[in-house]
Amino acid sequence: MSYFLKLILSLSLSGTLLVLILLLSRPVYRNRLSKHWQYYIWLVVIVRLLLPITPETSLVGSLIQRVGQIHLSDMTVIQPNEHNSSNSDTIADFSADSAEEKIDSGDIGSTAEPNTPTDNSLYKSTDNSHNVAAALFLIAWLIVGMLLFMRKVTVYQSFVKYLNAGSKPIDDISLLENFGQIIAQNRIRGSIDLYTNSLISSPLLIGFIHPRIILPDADLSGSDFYYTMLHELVHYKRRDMFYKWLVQLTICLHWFNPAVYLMGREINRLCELSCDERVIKTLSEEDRKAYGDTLLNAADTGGSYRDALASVTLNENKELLKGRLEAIMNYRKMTKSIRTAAILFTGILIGAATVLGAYASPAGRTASDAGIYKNVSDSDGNQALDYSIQHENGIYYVLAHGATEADKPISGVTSLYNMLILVRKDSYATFGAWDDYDMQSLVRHISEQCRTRLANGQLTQEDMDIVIAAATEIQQTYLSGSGNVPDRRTYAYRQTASYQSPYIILYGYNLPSSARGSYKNMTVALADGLNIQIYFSEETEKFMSDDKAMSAITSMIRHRLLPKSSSSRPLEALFIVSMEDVGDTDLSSLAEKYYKEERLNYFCAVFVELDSAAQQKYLALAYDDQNISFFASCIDDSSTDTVDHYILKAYEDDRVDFFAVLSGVLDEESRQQWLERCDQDGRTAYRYILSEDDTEDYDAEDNGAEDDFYDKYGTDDYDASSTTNILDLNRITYLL
Amino acid sequence: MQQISDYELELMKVIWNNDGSALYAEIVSALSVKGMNWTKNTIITLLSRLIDKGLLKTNKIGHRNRYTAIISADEYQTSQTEHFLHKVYEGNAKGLVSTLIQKDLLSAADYEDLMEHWQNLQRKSNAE
Repeated sequence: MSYFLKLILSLSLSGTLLVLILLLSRPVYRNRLSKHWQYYIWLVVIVRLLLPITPETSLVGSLIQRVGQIHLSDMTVIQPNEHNSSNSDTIADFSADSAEEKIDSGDIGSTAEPNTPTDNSLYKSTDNSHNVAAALFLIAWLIVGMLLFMRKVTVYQSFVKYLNAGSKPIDDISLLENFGQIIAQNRIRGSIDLYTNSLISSPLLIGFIHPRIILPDADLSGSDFYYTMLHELVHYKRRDMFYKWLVQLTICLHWFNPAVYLMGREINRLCELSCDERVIKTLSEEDRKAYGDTLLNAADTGGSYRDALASVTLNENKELLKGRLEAIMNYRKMTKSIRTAAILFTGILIGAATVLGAYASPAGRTASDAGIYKNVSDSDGNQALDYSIQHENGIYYVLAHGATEADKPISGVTSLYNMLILVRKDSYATFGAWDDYDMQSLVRHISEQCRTRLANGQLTQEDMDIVIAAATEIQQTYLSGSGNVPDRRTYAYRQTASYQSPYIILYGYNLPSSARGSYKNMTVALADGLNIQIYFSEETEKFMSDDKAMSAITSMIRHRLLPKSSSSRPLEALFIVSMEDVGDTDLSSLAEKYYKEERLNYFCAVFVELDSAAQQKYLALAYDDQNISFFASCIDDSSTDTVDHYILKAYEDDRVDFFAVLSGVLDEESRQQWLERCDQDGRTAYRYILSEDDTEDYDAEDNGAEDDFYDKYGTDDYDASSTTNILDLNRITYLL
Repeated sequence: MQQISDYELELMKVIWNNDGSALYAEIVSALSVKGMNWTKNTIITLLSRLIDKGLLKTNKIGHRNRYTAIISADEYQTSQTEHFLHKVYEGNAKGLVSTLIQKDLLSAADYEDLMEHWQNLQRKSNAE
């Protein structure tokens, strides 16, 4: 509300300054520049008064903002139960506060909050009372403006009615023909009717759709008739009616501003003066005098209806008439230097109008001020992407396409992972997850996910650009030192499932120390004097006292985990997420069960234990079911022959998602062959998927990170495909 | 019916003679045949006055207007005669006819024709 009020005030103030500039400098240009220029230069002022367009920083905009702050601090003094806080420095620009309040929940941290409100309750109460007052002002302004304009319209309508009632069409064919010839000479398209009306004092032009010229009487001398017509036709040609109504509209909207009335009077005056100028431009000295005579003769004609609002009359009053006659006698043609001066002056005024500006929308401003990122161009730098990032509890919300706080999905994700959620107005898409250790490979990781989804049609190119730009920003911000890069030797939390008869165990390792406190744990001694701390989720606590279960866990550690750990990759903080006693159910029926129930982790645990025929069966099944996450998990351990078989199949079936998954497990030689083949066939989407591995420049300087990335995703009994990672991890976080 | 000026009537006649409807170009050429080379503004103005008075209507054909008479020449003559009769003879048709005969505005042959027409009308109404 207060925003609109400020906007109106700022427009009015800007306009007033321009009116003053024009009126005060009038002595300079009055007799030098053409009346035509003087008439139309006011359009600049009108545009400034009507259009709420402004550069980012403008004089009036910042002035209004400052006045607003002072005004607010005044109000805090008036508030009865306020404490001593009338310090305007600590009070933020109150119209921007709602946006700022929303955002302060969690910034990524590189940009600082511009100002911090000291007392929130004070802050709010003053704002509310201010808003109510602002709303009242706004309503009052609108009502008065509308009433004024409506009155003008009805007055005009009744004037037209009055004119029509008293008007007689001119039937004199010679007069009509005379007029017709003048119209033809002036190359006017469309026709204009001719009437007489004894009630009016001077000739006038009226009517938007059916224009007509009304004369006080038909008994005009030849030259008077001619010049009168010339004058009115200039009005018609220039569409002065529209200009006049535009002025009236401006006056009604800025009814509280005395400057606009001055402007209105000045424009009316100049309308006639410039019209005269246009008429005499083509006339000889002699004829100019005759034209002046016509003006004088017209002034003599008596009339009774004085309100000539917004119709175009030949004659307004004696004072104006005097000015017009003088102008006719003083008329000089514009020289080249004068014309240059006119252009220069126009430029200055337009410049002034722009610089003065108006109060800019606080919504547009907070985004850059209030600690969120905005407007990062994509890698090519040719397109500004509009989004903002908010970081809360490990989730980076990327608000795009005008999405706001309210569009953010509710999430129960713990802080174990970082995730990126692209929030659109009515939908969102999740990317990740990754932990802090993955920060170095974040852009690559996210890009891969994007490309797969782009190929699947789940993501638009624009969204992909936004997500990648946001990821780049997050990564850069993180790596530039504001975030804590974890010790490289501390490995990231990973989670997977294994079959250890008779249990299927879903477990993680390297549980972050921050999370350790919330779980029951015990230390288990392994061979070689090695101890490992094991944490249990609420669900698995009961197994702590279960010897059978504990021995299964220990043997799983011994046989599956220890062989893979090394000094550079220590194994610590094992976390048992869930355990299921499957008894002596045979593996193939377990696999079938988990496949049906879509429990990917459990399925993977069983899958690796199956014989190769059964594995082939599930690959085929997953492919036919288009179950990409299962397929991706299974293909990882498959033979080269199997991979070759399916990648050809995916290529021929045009299943780009499967192709993407398979391309990840191709060896280098086959990849090159496929690249050539895609080139030959002109299948660029496929070529793109394959070639992404060529572009390793972004973290080429950090080969360690790259290797680790593949270590984690490639060899830890973990799915190779990033697509699966998301699904998998989402499931895990849900379990947790 | 609103009264129309002489020049407006000229335009109506042109349109009636053109089967009751005419394009602007047709009106211009018909007028120039009569020696009336009016400007475009005059013609369009008069035509739109006739539209306002309810004697004409326009349909757009492409960019051009076709002007069609709403009232036929007969209807116009009838209403104008009635108007005249009321205005000058206060509705007394006999007075009008006697003026026509006395001042030799009606020839003997015309008179015979009218008589015959009148008797035919009477016979018809008797038969019914």
